[in-house]
Amino acid sequence: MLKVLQLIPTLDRSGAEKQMVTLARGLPRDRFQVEAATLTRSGPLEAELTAAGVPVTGITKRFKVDPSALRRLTAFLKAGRFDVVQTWLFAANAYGRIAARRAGAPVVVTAEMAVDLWKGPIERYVDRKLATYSDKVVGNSHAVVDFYKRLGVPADRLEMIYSGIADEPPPKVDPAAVRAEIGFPGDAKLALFVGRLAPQKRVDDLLKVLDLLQHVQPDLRTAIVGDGPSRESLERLAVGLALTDKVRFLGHRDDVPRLMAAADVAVLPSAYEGLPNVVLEAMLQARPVVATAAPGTTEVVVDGVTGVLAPVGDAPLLARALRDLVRDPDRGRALGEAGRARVLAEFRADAMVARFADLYERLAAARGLNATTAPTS
Amino acid sequence: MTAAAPLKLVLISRRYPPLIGGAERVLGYLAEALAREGADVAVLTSAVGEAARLPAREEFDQPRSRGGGRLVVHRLPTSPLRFVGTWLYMRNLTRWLKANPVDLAYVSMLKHDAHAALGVAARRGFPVVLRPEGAGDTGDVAWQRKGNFGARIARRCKQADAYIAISRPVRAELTAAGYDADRIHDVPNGAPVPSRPWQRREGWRDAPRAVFVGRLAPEKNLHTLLRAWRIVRGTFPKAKLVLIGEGPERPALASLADELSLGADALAMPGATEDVEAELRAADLFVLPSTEEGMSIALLEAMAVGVPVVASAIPGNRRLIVDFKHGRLAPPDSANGLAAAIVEQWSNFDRAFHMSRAARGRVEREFSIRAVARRHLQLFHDVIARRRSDQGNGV
Repeated sequence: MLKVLQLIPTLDRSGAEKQMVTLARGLPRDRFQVEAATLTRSGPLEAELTAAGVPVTGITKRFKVDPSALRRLTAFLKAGRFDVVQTWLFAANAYGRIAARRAGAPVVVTAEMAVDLWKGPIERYVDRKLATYSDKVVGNSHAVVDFYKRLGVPADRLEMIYSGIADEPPPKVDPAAVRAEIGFPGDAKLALFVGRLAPQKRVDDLLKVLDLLQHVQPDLRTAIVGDGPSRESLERLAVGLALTDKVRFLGHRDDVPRLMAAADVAVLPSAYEGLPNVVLEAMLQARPVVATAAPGTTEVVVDGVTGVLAPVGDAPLLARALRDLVRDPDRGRALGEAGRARVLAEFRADAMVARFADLYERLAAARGLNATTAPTS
Repeated sequence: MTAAAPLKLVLISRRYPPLIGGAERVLGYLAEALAREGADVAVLTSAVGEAARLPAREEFDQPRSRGGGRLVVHRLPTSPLRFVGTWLYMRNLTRWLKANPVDLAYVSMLKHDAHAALGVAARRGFPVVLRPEGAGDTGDVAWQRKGNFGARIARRCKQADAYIAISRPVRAELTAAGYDADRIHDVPNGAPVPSRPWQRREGWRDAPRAVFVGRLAPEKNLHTLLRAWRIVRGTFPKAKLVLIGEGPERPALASLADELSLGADALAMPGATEDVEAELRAADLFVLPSTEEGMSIALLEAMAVGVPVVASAIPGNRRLIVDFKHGRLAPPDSANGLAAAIVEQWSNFDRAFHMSRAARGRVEREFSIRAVARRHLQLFHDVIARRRSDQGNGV
């Protein structure tokens, strides 16, 4: 029995957090004892962890650089005597790895979930330096692994484990009712964007696409789910482009699977991704995907097979792809089915969990820990 | 001067907004944009025509300016009499330049203003950049060949530190007239890009409306447009053409309209306007049938707003519009060809819309006034630096 801690900044409803919860819930209880900790604050996903019997501890870091939070985290790791500490996202990766070394945690695994083009020289330096504290840096796609290889993380410390998504039966929905509830006509074509409203996602390009399509596809409506720093300027842009009838900003939603089931197509105009969860969710529900050929996205969406890809920033081509798809529902269905088949073959949650479980046991064995016996304390 | 002190710039143009015209609008936008980019801009212009009633000194707020930029317009006294007016304006220009030290003078047109500015500059040692506003029969080089004192002015204009060519013909004419090709710099005209793009009018098809913005002058080729309009009305019986602007051709155009029996429902000539953007937003098409354009500010503005465009296939327009990509081009000499392009834009309005958005994107990327102002400032700094190093070397 290995004692495992998952450390993450928050429990918001975002990509990395969902993967973490899937992993924490899925690790077989006969081999692992699992706990979770939040570095900064908790969030809506805590309930899912508690329901699965995973205790959650809050470290409550307050500042960007917060030595007392680091002390609290170190003390918590020492007291918990974890065999494996896995850290997620930049802040938890930085604090977690330093604290784990100070606490003498035997195995440290770091998850990297995106091709983080936002990282500047300081973040890159921290990542390079702290990579030596990790037994493995796990990327969730080849694009992410390549990014960290170029950043200077030694190749033998890198590992690729695709994100996974659990196959749940699609929710039964009345598409017309969902449209009406958002404020769209019941027979409208519905495109769905789900993601953080930040420059990385290039939602302004999506608005330009909708501006271009307003006359050639007057029945197209778009729901934008998510929140973030760009929301205000995007809403202003939508007003400026006179798209208020055609676009709704829905903010955070807890019923994304339901919205996805009602949508005709999922859209993702990002500049870069790790392995976009929302695309996995769309494909699992057999929805066709129109996206940019961004690093990460290209590993999930097969152009012309499970969706259509356009170059990043090319609004006219993205517009054409979207228009063609909503005009040809048969093709949309075919792409969607192919997408579902691909997700079930390549991106299964149980496969992701099994690979992490195997990785923990391999690394623990290399440290001389006996994985199969229960802890004595 | 420390690096933080704003560049003291004087922009000289005998005509300046609110006087109406393409060149005037270009300079107005440019002066504002230069101030927004941090330059201390003084505009020297003549208190001519309706400008005579405006204050002699007017300071404009630049709320979004970075680092000390400001814009002051000085309207120098002149006279409505032809020769006296020019003489008075030149004298007042010279006095102002002697009394107010500047880092650089930027002069519109290679005419009297340039002569006066270069005269003071030779004694005071500030660099001068000149800007021809056009090419061809109405261009600056042609004027120097024909105008009073043209040859004398041309000789002095050749002493300027740099020239800004807004189009290839302008550059070619300057070079052919003996100006130093190394001192000619290509900088296009720029237009502000409004944040809200043009939108299709509800029910536009019932009475589609095309607008022309510019002087009612022979080179605008409006006779061909009126003839084309009769043909357009064959397909769109309620189509209306609005010619925004004033000029010498008005009587001839009015009588041609009678001849073609284009009534008030088919053609309007309401005169000039200060709010071009509003006219563009109220239109379903912008038409520019000119036989000659350097780089039309009216066309740039139409593209920036994002209204569909039909323009004549002449070099100046081709520079801005790629046929079928940003709008439609039509042969300048054929009423049939022009009418066909207009009818086609309206018959396939979704495609026209798509092209108009592409045109707006192109202006955003290549011809925004902000980018153009920055290129000017870069050139000004280079010219000033070169002057200083020359003086340092005792040249």
